[in-house]
Parts: sequence; structure tokens; C-alpha cells
Amino acid sequence: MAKKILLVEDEEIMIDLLQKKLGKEGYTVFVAKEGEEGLKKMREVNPDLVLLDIIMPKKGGFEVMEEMNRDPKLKNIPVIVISNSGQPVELDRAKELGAKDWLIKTEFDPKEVLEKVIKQIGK
Amino acid sequence: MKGFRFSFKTKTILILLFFGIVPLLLNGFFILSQLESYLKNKTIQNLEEIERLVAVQIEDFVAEAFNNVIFLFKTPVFSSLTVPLEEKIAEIKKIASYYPNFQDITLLDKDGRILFSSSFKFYGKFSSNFWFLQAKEKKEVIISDIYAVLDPTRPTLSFFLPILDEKNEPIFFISVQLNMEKFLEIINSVKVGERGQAFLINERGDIIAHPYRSLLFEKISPDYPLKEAVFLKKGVVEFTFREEKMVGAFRIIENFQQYPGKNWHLILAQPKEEILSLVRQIRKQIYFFLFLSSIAIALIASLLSRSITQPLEKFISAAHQVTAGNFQVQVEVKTNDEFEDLATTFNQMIKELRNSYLKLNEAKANLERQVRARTEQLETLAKSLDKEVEKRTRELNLKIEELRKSRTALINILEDVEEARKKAEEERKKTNALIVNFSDGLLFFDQEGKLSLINPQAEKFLKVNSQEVIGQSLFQLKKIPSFQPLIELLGEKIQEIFRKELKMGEDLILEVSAISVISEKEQLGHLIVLHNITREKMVERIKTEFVSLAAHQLRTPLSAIKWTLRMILDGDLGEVSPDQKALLEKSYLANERMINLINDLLNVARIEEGRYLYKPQPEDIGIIFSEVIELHKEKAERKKIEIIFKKPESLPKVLVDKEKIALAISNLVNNAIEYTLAGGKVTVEIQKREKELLCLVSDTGIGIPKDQQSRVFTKFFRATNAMRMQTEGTGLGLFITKNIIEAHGGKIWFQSEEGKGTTFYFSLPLIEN
Repeated sequence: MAKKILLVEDEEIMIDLLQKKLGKEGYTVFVAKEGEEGLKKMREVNPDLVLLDIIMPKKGGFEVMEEMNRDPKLKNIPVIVISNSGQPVELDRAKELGAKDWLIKTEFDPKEVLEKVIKQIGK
Repeated sequence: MKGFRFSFKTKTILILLFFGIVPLLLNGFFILSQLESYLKNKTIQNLEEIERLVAVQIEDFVAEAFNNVIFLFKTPVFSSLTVPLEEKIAEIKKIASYYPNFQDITLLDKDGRILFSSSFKFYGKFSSNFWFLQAKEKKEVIISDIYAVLDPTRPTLSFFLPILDEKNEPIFFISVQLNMEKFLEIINSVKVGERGQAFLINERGDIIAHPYRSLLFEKISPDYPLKEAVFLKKGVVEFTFREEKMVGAFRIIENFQQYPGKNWHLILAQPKEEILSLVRQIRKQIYFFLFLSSIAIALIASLLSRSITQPLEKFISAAHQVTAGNFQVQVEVKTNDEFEDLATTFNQMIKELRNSYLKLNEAKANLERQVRARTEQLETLAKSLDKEVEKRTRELNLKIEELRKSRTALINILEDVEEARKKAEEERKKTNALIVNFSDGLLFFDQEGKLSLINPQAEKFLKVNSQEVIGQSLFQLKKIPSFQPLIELLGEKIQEIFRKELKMGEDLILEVSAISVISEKEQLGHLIVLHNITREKMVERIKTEFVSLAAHQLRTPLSAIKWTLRMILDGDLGEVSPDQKALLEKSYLANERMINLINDLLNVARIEEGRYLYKPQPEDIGIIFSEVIELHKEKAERKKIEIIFKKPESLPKVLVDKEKIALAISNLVNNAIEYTLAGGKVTVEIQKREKELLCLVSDTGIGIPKDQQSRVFTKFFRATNAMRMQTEGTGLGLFITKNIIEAHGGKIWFQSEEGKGTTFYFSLPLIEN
């Protein structure tokens, strides 16, 4: 059975690219364009992994993680954080909140994203 | 009390006046008050006396009428039933003619019907007449009140006489009306004072007799105590009559001799004003008398005091003359008393004084003669002395002349000096003006480290007043809070510093320079220049913020491009031809450069915003170097450049932010490879020193032109030869590197020679135990 990945990201093109890349590898990719929607989808589909953008309209990535930590059902879903700026403060905060890994948009490419995903949940 | 000095004479007069006039006045007023009450009483007594006589007359008048009525009508003619009515009428007519005092005699039957009236005035019946009914009931003679029938100015009085039969029942009544002219005459004739008058009033307060007929039957004034008077029978009364206060005596006429009276009030009253006018007149006379007496007393007092003080004045005048030197004066007093004795003694005394004075004068004349002789001797002596003095003076004048000449010479010299001083002063003023008006803050510390100058700008920056701080040492100044940051920057012993930034607060950032001031090889002290760069800093901050914001916004699309290109290149989106691939590859690299530039800009912006975060952890710097070199190996190989890495076997760990220090090393290594021609060599070395690690990156590259070396670490700097060789490059790398190294407490510097190569050095402090 295909592994389920929930992508929470507001950037259309990023969604498009990641969906293609990960879909090609056989993952089922669910998309939420904003934090609140992301949490809702999480409860619906119970994904194996969450790819979470930090800066989003309405509810940002950190708030989503805080809420996940409060919810026992969501608490154990692994999270890879997608950062735009890659600032140490941001990454530290992500680690604090229990992110398994992180990637910086400008410094990584989709291939590396795939590698990080595989590292977390396998093929 | 000086202003109120009274002479003895005045005092005497005042005392005499006081003892003469005051008792006189007191006595006068006492007499006056006694007199007033006496006069009042006397007046009342007089009124009462007259009143008593008047009352008797009134009683007599009525009683006589009474007697007549009884005598004339209590006869058998009237009481006998056998005497016919005609005879009775004839009798009445006869009586009426004899007694003109009887105005009218009326015969009534037992029911009050008129049988006959002598005056023919009365008709009808008396059956409801008050007095008739009384007479009928009481069966005795009833006297009416005084009343008026038609003409109120003609009062009258009636008697009702019942005629009884043997059974003591009235068969007829006779009514007799009295003529009251004589009665009124009694009242009119009363004369008291000028306007005194008698009143007769009945029980109800109606005036029944009074000199003014028009007032008859009017009510007496309401303030007349009608009931009280009846109760008291007689006494003194005050009441208002025709708006005038009256004082008088009253008396109740209780009966008319043996006949019962009608309780008439007889009042004899005089206007109060009239009584008082008498009193007033007397009072006026007494006042006049008092006034005359006072004047007389004053005159006497004055004369008396004069007789006492006149001798005294003579003594005083004599004493004055003696004081003035006139010993011929004699006091003449012939009063035959103590004053005369005193005058004799006084004259004797003056005589004695005159003798002493004459003796004294003689002695004085003697003395003067002696003085004159002595003076003559002295004058002779003085003349010979003058000659000597003249000679000496001449000599002195010569000396003075000499002195004056030398003084003139001296003054000339001094004037020259003064001119020089003035020039120097002017120069000093100029310099001072320069210092005071200089836009930068200036402070001067002397050799001993004491503040000897501070200009207004510096005072403003440091929030101090020159008086408070001049002469203070560095150590003392450190205690002033606003001064503390500057002193900390300068250090305990002032070293030369060049444009160091000093944040004094949110709204003041200074650039501090310390310059050694040396004059003719002698160190004078240090000049501290404080340049206000707050505004520049603010502009810079705004710029940085802008860059940061712009860079962030750029990153997002750049990432999207990067990812897209990567996926196309990786064939994720389908086959790509080799030509397409080659072009896309170039686009990808260009995009990467763009990302690097943005990252550099962001780093710079963060450094300048002061939020370039460092999280130092103990790290093996050797490992970091190895990793960085590893990343650059490919590029070096491509350029056929050899990289040599030398380091000691073991290295102590240093506290670094791994990521940042790696960036710093990477920038140095990348530059070395970039600006070294193929076949060149890059040497990376770590040396361990006592307290630090010294790292160096050395190349055999193009070097940095000497004239541009000072700008190597500034933002966007690129050496001209570097730009010729490699067009790409942000000029930010070394700026970032320098900031990273310094943020770790290290130092960075370089040595370079154009065309031969460059060596960059940086140090990192070791962890202290």
C-alpha cells in the first residue's frame, strides 16, 4: 500500500513539483495550502509523513506543529520542515518542536527532498 | 514721644481745665436731668390740681340739675291721680318758663307715649328708649348719657323720672332735657399752658365734651387706655390726639355727689411737645451757662499757669544767655515766694560764674603770648631748613629725569612684547572658536590622562557640563554613567584608535577616534574626536532592512526556478534533448549564482542588522577546514590548482558556530582558487599559538593592488585586477568573513603583493580552561 504524504505548502509551483516528484516515486501526496487545512487533512487521511512549510498565510508551520504536539493522534506523525530562509533560529525552533528533518528551498533540490523522505519513511 | 512734648505751661493749663471743666459739666448734666423730671412731675401735678377742680364743677352741675328735677317734679301735682292732665301740663309749662336750663320737659304715659312736650320737638313714643325702660324697670330717676339729637354740636342730657301711684307703680314719666351750654363752658374754660385742653369722654370712649365742638361724639384715640383708666380711677396718661403725643392726667367721675355717676373720664392733657419745649428752653440756657463757665475756667487756667510759668521762662532765658557767654544777665522775679528765692540764688551763681570766666580768660591770654613767642622761633628754624630742602630737591629731580629715560626704554620693550602677546591671544581665540564651533565633539586628555578640554558638541554627546569634568582623570570620569562607554572604549591608557563605533543610546551613535598629539617630539596628550554618525547609521539600517526584505522575496521565485530546472534536468518531466539540457544546465548555474548573491546580501543585511546569530560550540576547526577544502577540490582540480592543507597532529577545540566559520573559510578558499591562475598553488595552514589558533590561506594568485588594499574588507569591494579576471562576484565575501571572524573574537588581516599572491590570516581564541 502506497505511503501517504501530506504536503502543507502555499506556493503553487512547489506543490506542483513535489507532487510530481513524490507521486512518481509511488507516494500518495495530499495537499493543504494552509496550516488550518493541513491539520484538518492530517486528521482525515492520517499520513505517514508531513512536509510542512514554515511561512504560510493564516496558520504557519510552527503553530501547526504546536497543535500536533497537543494532539496524541497527530503527535507521532514525522514532520520534515521546509524553510525558505534557512535561518538558524528557525531551524532550532523546528527541532525543538520535534521536526525529524528540515530542508531549505534554495539549497536543496527535489532529488534531495526525495532522499530525506525515503530516509524517514522508506519507499 | 518726642513729637508730643508738652511744655510745662500746656500741662498746667490742661490740668486746670480738666479739674475745672469736667466737674462743671458733670454737674450741669446732672442738674439738667433732675430738672427735666421735676418739670414733668410739676406739670402733671398742676394738671391734676386743675382737673380736680373741673371734676367738682362737673359733679356740681349734674347734681344741681338732679336736685332740681326731683324737687320740681316729685310733687303731688304730678303724682296725684286726682289732678287732671291739663293741670299737670300747665305746671310743666310753668316750670319750663322758669327754668330756661331745661331745654325740654316731656310728659309720657306709663308706656312711653308722649302726652306733652314743652319744646314741641318730640312726637311719637319713648317706649323703646333705653333710659326710659330703665326708669320704668327701676322705678327711680335715670340720667341718660350725654347725647345729641339732631345737631351733634349741641349735646344734651336727659333725666327720666317715673311718677308712682300709691301702689308704687309708675303712672307717668317725665323726661327733662338739659341745656348743656354751661356744662361745655366748664370744659372750655380750662386753660393749661398754651395748648393744654380738657376732654370728657364716656365709658365707650366717645368724646362728650371738648373745646372743639366738631370733635364731639368722635372716638378718643385707640391708644387711650379706657379700661385701665376705669380700674385706676385716676393717674397719668399718654395718648395720641390728632397725630400729636399728649401727656395728661385723667380722673373717673364716679358719681355726681350723692347721685350715681356715669363713669365719665375727665382728661386734662397738654401736648408732650409743649412740656418738652420748656425743658428744651431751660436746657439751652444751661448749655449756654456751661459754655460761658468753661471759657471763664479756661481763661483762669491760662492766667494761673502763666503766673507759674512766667518766672520759669525768665530762668530759662537767663540760662540760655549764660550759655551763650553773657554773664551780665540778672533774673528779676518779684513774686515774693520760692521763685524769688530761686532768682536770688541763681543771680549769685551767675556772678560766681562770671568771676571764674574772667580768670580763665586771663590765663588763656598768657598762654597765647607764650605760643606766639615759640612760633617765631620755629619760623626762623624752618627758613634755614627750607634752603637745605631746596638743594636736596634739585638733586632728586636730576635722578628722576634719569629714571624717566630708562622707563621709556623699558616701556618700548614691553609694548613689543604686548603686541606679540596680542597676536598669540588672537590665534588662541581663533583656535578656541574653531574648537567650540567644530561639528564633531572634541576632548583633550593631557599626558596624565586628565581631561583638559571639552567642546560644546562633546558636552552634548556625553551629557555633561565642562565645569564638572575638566581636570578629572579617566578613572573619575568612568563613574559618570554617560561617560562610561567612551572611557571603556578608550581603555585605561589611551591608545590611538580610528573611527570606532560607539553606541551611546538609541538615538546617538558616535564614531570615536583617538589621536596622539605630539608637538616637537613631546607627547602632549590625546585628542578624542567624536563624530556623530547616528543619521548615517539610521540610513544604513533602513537600507539593510530593505535589502533583507527584497532578498527574501527573491528567494522564493529563485527556489521555484531551481527546483523546476533540476527536475527537468533530472528527466522527471520527460526526456530532454542534449542541446536543451546544456542550455538548462547553464540556466541552472546562473540561477545558483543568483541564489548565492541573494544569500550573501542577506548575510550582510543580517550582520548589519545585528542579528547574525552565532551559536558557538566547541569544534575541531581542522575538521571544518577539511570539509570546506573537500567541497572546493573539484573546482581546484578543474583549474589545475594544487591545494595543500597543513595542520598539527592534534588541535584543541575552539568555540565556533560551525556553519558560519565554514562560510568564512569557504570564502577565503574560494577566493584563493578563483583569483589564482591555472597551475597555481593554494596553501591552507593551521598553526597553534599560545592563546589562539592562527589560520592562513595563501595563494600564488594575482594579488591585491597596494592602493586598494585598505578597502579589501569593505562591502562590495572588488579589486580592479580581480574584476578583469572574473566578472562575477559580489564583493561581499570578505566583508562577511571579517564579520564572522570578529564575532568569534578573532582577528583577520592579509599580506599581498600584486602579481605574486595573497595570504589571508585569521586567528581564533582558544578555549580558556
